[in-house]
Amino acid sequence: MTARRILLIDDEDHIRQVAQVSLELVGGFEVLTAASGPEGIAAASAHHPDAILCDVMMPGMDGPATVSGLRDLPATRGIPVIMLTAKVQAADLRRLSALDVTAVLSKPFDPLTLPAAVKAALGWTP
Amino acid sequence: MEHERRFRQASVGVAVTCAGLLAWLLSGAGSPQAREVVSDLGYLAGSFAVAVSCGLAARRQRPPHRRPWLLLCGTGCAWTVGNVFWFHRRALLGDLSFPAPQDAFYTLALVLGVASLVSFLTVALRRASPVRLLLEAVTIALSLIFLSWALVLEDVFHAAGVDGLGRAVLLAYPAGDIVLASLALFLAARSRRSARRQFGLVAAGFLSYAVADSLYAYLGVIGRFAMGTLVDLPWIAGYLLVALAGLAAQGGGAEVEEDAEERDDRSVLRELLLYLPTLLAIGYATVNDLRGDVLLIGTGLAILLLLGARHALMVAEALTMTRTLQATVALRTSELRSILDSAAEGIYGIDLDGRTTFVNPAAATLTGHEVGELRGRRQHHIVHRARPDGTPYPYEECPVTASLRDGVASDVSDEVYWRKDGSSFPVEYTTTPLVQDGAITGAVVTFRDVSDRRATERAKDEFTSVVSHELRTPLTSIRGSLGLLAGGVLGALPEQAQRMLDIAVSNTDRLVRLINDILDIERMESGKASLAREHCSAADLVAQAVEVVQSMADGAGVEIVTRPVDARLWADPDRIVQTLTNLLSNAVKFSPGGGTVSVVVARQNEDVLFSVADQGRGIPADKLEAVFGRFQQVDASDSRDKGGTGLGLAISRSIVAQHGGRIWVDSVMGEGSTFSFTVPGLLEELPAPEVVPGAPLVLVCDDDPSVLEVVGAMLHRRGFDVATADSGEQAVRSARDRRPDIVLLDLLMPGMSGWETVAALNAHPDTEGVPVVILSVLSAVDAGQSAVAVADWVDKPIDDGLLFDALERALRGGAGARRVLLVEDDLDLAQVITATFARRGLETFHARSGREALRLSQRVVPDLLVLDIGLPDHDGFTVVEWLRTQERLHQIPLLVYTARDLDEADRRRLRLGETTFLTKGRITPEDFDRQVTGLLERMTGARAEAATR
Repeated sequence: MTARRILLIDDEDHIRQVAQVSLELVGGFEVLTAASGPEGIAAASAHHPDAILCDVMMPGMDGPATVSGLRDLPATRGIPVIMLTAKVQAADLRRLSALDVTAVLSKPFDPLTLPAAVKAALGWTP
Repeated sequence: MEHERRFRQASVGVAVTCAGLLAWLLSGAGSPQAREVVSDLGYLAGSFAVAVSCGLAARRQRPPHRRPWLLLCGTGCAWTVGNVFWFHRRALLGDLSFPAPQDAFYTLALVLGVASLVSFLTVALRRASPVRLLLEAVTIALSLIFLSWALVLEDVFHAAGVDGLGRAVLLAYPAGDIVLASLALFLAARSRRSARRQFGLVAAGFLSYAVADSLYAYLGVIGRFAMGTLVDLPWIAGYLLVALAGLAAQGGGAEVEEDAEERDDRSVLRELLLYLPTLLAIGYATVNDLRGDVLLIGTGLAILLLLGARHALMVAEALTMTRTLQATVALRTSELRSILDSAAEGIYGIDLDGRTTFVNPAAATLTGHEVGELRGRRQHHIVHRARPDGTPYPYEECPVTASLRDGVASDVSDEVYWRKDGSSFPVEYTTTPLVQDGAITGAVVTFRDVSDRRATERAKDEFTSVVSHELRTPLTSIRGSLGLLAGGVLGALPEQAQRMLDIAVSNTDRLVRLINDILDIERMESGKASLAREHCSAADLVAQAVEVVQSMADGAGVEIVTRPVDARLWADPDRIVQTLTNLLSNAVKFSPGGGTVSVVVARQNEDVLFSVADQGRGIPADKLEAVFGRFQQVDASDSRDKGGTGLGLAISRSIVAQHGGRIWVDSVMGEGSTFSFTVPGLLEELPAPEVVPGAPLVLVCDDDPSVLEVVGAMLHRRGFDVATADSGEQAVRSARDRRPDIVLLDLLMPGMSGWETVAALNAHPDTEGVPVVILSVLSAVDAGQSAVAVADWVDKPIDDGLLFDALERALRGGAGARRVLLVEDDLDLAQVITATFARRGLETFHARSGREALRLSQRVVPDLLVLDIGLPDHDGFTVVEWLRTQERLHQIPLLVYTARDLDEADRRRLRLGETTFLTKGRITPEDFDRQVTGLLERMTGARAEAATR
């Protein structure tokens, strides 16, 4: 079976790198990255990843806007999205879970367990 | 009490003695000698009683109240000695010469008596204008002189056969008596309320004595004085009354302490007492011809003058008082005006029509109007005409209008006021009805512009949120990179490098925890974190918490032992687990290797008690409370060594407090600490009630045996009698045999369908009236068979609440007695409300506590909940929160009444179905009744609507 492909959208270069290493080396996923919402939507339409990990706070198009952009396109509509956020206040989390997303994971994440959390959220058997 | 009893007994004794004496004197029994001896003994005994009683009274008093009683005691002594001399000379020596040694003592007694009365007056006189008191005293004295001169004094004065000294002594008696009587009368009329009895008795005693004394002088002069005659009575009675006054005197000088609350208790009768001698003098003058008697006419004129002066003085005093009052009112009004003028809040008053009656400058400034523009117009139409979104705000819907209509005060915080320039500002206002003699006359509205506060709150929230985010973002990279390195994902490292990385990872984790905890406590203490309460099992919560800390305990070689009781709670499970985790991780951290941490759950009355005990070093007694503060580790090095944030216990305390519980720690140095907290427990599961004779019989018809079994058991537990049928045919037969009160019917059955069964039941005279409740996977809408009359419809899968609700309704015939669940801890009030409801045909179920209410609401589905906020155990908020989670209860109309003012946040937390808020004391019983009726009527309407849908 080929590795699952995950698209990682985050404007923070360092976080992107760390998460990519974690998802690739620990989780064994194939990882695509994008540094902004529009870039992410373009990548998703072009590569049809199995899932998308998307940051919430991004300049310009933020996470929720990116999600609705993804949902507007037929090609990306069905791809499950997991939000990654450094905002953990109850009100923030409520707003996020109201979006059409599979899960909300909080930052900072543990790179050793992040892939397992992603798999659990998506219902992928290890 | 004892004192009072003694006084009463003595009073009765005095009354009986006087009555006996009077009867005996009138009867004329006994020889003249015997009568003389009796009256001698009576004088001796009476005067001795005065000396003793007043001496004792003086001992009970504190200065300055002691002095008059001492003087009275002296008076009694002088009388007694005088009487001894008198007895000795008259009875033993037969010497009746005048003046004699006893007269010296009698005169001394007179002087001491006057002194004691003056002394009484100085300590007992009510505050009044001294000039008026003087006028009054002189008027009394003059009137008495008038009377005395007319009756006694003149004769004594002109008496022949008495030498200079004798005449002086003789005259001294009536003159002294006038002074005594004046003072006594004055004392009786002007003494303070608290001391009136004793002074009244002193006054009466001296009056009586003065009358006897004057009589003695008069009779002596005209040579008709004799012992053992009626003259003895006022004398002896005078002694006894003064002695009684001594008994009446309470210890301590209480009248001084009561001085502060002394009220003006002048009465017409007491005022008349002052005029009594004057009236008597006038009466005498009317009956007798005074022409030629210069002294009497002169005295009469003087009295008239004095009375006129006193009247003028009183008029002047009244005028002064009126002016003072007017000045005070003006002063207060101007103070109030300046308070209104200087208040930063806008304040305006409106009449019943909503028109502005007054408005303060702040109200005008805040709304951008001139004061004059606001006055006399409907305030609502000027500043409150539209809602925040700009849509019109009808006058009738405004809370201010409601307070005019219902007399209910309210605080509103989510509306806007409009300025003259068309802009608006967020406002918080309080509307308070003005009630006069039970009728609403208007309202006062106080408002403030909360733009700044809102902005500050927003800025603070935003700041917290941004700080949280901005700290987490770099931490994410740091934690991630370190984690990858330390986890060996990028290859193995030298041992020392690995150790350094582990340290970096654990401290990064600690930093993240610290940020989380700070945000947590900030949210909790600002009241932003609300609890998501649900039913939970204590055992589950403990298990979850132990799971979180298990690996840490394993690492530290500490064993966690749990002995949970299966108690149920009504709590936010995440928060309780967080608390338990905090306590457990602390316990593990401070336990020695190989130690044991034990978790115990126990019921404690109505609460559930959680305890976490360790075998650590213990906490010093002076830190037992402090450890729950922020950053309050026992040892400053703990945060470094133990990796805690210093906020765990503070957060735990907030959580427990929010649940209405308590947290504390017991500790023995060197042996360990036990942290305990309580959370209100949930009522125990209700035992299945026995099926009582006469319980409604429900015939359940379904072709699925498991449905029959489950529904049958549910109904049994609810106290219904149950019959079952597995087909339509059997149901029709069974219904004819057993006449059920209600039929619960499945629709989709092989053979005779549900609808055919309904038709068959309706076709037979024995079963046609039996209400049928449909129980089906089809919803009423899908089935599309509303033509056939059924009482109700319950969807499968079955929600027991809805099912019982439907059954209750069907049994009541849809419109039977409505049920009100009244939650009120004041029994008297509950009875009043229940009686009111009973008159309206409502059945009331009364719960005295929140707990009882929850229990009752599991049994009865009420049509209306009436709730007093401020109940002793679970407070009303918890009751409502719990009811909200109940499918069949969350839409019940709710009437909240409370003595405390609820803010908007409170009100939001208290919403159930249609919710009305009433404030105790601001609502009349009629209003209460009207609100309840209105709610019930609207609710009936809503149900009817739901039924036709």
